[in-house]
Amino acid sequence: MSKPERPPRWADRFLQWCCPKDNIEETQGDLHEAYYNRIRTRGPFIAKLLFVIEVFQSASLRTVQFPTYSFRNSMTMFKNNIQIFFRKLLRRKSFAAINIIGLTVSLAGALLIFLYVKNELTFDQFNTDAGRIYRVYCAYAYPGESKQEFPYTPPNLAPAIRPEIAGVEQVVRVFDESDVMVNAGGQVFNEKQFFKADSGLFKIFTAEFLAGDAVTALSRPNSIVIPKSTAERYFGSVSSAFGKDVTVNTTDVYNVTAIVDDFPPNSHFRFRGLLSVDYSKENLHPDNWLSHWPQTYILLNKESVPSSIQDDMRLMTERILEPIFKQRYGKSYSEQKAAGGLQEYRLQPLLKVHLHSAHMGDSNDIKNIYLFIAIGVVLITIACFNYINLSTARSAFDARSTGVRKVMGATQAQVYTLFLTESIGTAIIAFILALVTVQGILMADTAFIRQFIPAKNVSLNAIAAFAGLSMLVGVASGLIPSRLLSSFEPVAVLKGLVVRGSGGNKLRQVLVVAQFVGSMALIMCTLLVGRQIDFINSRPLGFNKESLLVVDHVDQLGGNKQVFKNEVRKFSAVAQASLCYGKIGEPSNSAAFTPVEMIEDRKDLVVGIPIYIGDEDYLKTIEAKILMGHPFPPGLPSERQQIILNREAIRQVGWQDRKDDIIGKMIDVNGRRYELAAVVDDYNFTSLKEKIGPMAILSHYWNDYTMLLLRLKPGTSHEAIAQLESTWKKIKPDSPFEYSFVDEDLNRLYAAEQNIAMLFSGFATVAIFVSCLGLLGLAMFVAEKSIKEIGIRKVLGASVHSIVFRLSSNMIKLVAISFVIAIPVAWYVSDQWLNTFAYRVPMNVSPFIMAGLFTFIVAILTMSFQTIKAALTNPAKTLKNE
Amino acid sequence: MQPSGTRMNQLGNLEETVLLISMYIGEVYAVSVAEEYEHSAGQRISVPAIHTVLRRLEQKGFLRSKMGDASPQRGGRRKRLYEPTAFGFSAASQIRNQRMKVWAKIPQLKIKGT
Repeated sequence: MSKPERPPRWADRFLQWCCPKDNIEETQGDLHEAYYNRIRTRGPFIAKLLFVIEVFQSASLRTVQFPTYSFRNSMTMFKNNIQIFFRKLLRRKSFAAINIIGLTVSLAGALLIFLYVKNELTFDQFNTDAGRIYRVYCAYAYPGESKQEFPYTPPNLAPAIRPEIAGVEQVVRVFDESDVMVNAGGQVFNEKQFFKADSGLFKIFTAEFLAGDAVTALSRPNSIVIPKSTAERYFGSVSSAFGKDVTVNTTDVYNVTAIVDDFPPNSHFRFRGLLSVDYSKENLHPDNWLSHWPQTYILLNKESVPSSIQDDMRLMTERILEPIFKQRYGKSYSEQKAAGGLQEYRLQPLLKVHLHSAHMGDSNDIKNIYLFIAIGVVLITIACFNYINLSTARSAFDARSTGVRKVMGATQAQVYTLFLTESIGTAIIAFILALVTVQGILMADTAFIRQFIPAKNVSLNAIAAFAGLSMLVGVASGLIPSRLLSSFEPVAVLKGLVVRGSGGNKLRQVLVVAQFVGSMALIMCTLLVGRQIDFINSRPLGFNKESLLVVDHVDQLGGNKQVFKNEVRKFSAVAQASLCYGKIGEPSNSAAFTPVEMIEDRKDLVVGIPIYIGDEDYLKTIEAKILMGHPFPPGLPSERQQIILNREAIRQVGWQDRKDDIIGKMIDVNGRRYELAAVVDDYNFTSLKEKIGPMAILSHYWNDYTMLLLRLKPGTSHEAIAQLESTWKKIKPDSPFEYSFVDEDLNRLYAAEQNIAMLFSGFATVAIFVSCLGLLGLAMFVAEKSIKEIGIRKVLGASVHSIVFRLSSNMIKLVAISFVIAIPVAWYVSDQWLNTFAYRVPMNVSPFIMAGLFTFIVAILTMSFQTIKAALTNPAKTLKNE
Repeated sequence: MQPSGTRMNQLGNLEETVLLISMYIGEVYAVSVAEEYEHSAGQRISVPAIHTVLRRLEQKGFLRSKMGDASPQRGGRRKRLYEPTAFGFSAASQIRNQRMKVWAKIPQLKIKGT
């Protein structure tokens, strides 16, 4: 009969651990014997079961040996360990420096990421009851089109909710009044973050009142609430601002009824001024249910359930919209809905607004946060691996000390803690350096960093958290090397039998390859991103963006606009000038247009397009190419208003094959009629991320010219600006003169991309650095392992070259493998990113080759430190113990 | 090796049984006691319980122990063998005598051998 199964091994080991040492032998033996007997008599299952039961019965916790360090000498030993640690640092400075720098870089990077992530995750949490606050968004679909969601609501929504829906504590609207001109304290300001809000706003959002109070702040019409920063800007101090009047858009006077602390940077809603709503002047027409412009925020009661509130809202709006739809669209809401239409209002928790509304507009995405956390984890992991790598690669050095210590009576555990102290000490030093570095970065207060991390100091929480993390890193990285280095036996060491360098070589090689793949891919992506940015800057846009200057807010000149233009045109620096509306790069107005002749037979051909307004010199100023027709004639009266369309607009109405006969036809734009004056060739009036869409330039619209667009002669910008400013001041001295350059504005469209480029190059640098550390570890290991072999070869006449080559060949192979792997990775990632642009550079090989070459050179340099040093060692030294 | 504070004739039921078994088998160890106990009393008993009893009896001086041979079945571990001491014998018979005296006082029962 075959040998019966052994007793369950885990139970056996447990027994060894928890059984008193003085009788473990007989106990264990008895239990084993009983087990084998029982297998015969009662079967294996019972035998195993009883064995396990009896193991637990024999356990005696009192004598359990926890793997603790004997604390008898702990204080002295600890001090001694520290002493040895410092001595080691000083003696092997370069080794220590490499380890410490590696850990510092990773910890600093991880700390920065931590601060950023924490800031992003805590958005809007300063509001008490934030958990009960919701933002209303609209889920909208036009029949036949896909659903969209946006955070704008009809102004009628909040007033309808207030009386009807139970369970709502407060509901307010916030209207964006951006781009207002404010007269305060004798100065004029053009402000962007101005809003109008219902009186209950501060019942929802929490603010610290420095003057005035939440109840009265917005309760009367013509009140304005300003944050501290605005108060100081306008009046110099909070106390002098309170109760003063400011004028908005030259006609409306508001009284400062309250001053609050600025909302913290991690709030999705920040304002420079908050105006109250004049309910007596508010006119809520039912048709407004079809327009969405203010944002609506809701604070629910403690007992309310959001989903049922949402259902109540839906029922209410379905009821209200039913007749309105019928009247405006010809079909009632329920009919529209049956055909695939949708107009519903839903609740989004406030705390999710910042990170989970990327599809609705311009906020951050939780995916980016995950990405950054992943990067942080990767950084720390790599740091640990590198530490392990480097510490175990030169193990011969420590092997001797371990051997001697053991001879002098140290237990393995004691030597283990010595090396663990070393790794923890390194981690602590790295932590302190990382902290200083990050604090320095934050204090430098560069705009680039501030947009990610608004704090000026590392918070105490972060310091504590990272101190803990660093200790953990120290322990984690120390476990493996300490175990290895403390395991050397004195006899083997002192006899010289220790195999120099030791295990983990496969792991090390895999790690180095992974690190180099990462670095090379990052460098390739950085180069590709750089090329796309160059492309963006240099690609012809269809109009001339050089030396194109915009003077903003010319509507403030009123009737003197034309005078200003005429004056300005006389300057030698100015080549062309045109009054217009609509920023190139960020069209703001949009309308629906359709050729009049098509209205009758093709009712659905209504296309929503961006609108610019320009005078007779507009096309000349931007140097757009006219395909058919002529620019607007000067002095065109508004009854004979005209329109210029681009080629894409023409194509979208189906006229692409027509010729000059379309010039002069009437086009309907949002109900007004325009005569088609010209067709221009398509040019990029928005970001290159989008394919050129349809666009219209109108001679007149319901709003006025707001900008003067100027083509300057090259190199004249300084004097031109000076002259423009003085001319402006002559006409309207109390309005601020503001200008910008079109090419700079266009660049700002790609701010995100430029940030990405900077981030990528930052990461690439870190990655290369870290990979070289890994490679260094590998090189050290290889050098040490073959030190005797090198000695013998040298004695036999090998040259330094051949030895260096020999040592490096394997590592070069690894770098080559990394290159091969990195190419498809980088290709795929950059291809995805480049495809977000409608106009992109084609892929070509040079960035890949350059990245590979660069990395290769850096790798060779790194390796050469060790390989050349090894190749130059005197064989007498290495072989003298043979 | 008499522990203080325990009365010489204080033995629990199990302890007494184990001591008796050791007296009639001679040299015992935990497994053999367990086997014999299950055989005569018909009840299963766990080996560690026997260990405890044997050690306690040794502590009280009724048994003495020595290490025996190893066997492959035990993974090469030796067993600890116990045998009763003279003191143990005398304690056991003292207990028996005391008990018999009590039994004799019961009129109705005639017990064989008394």
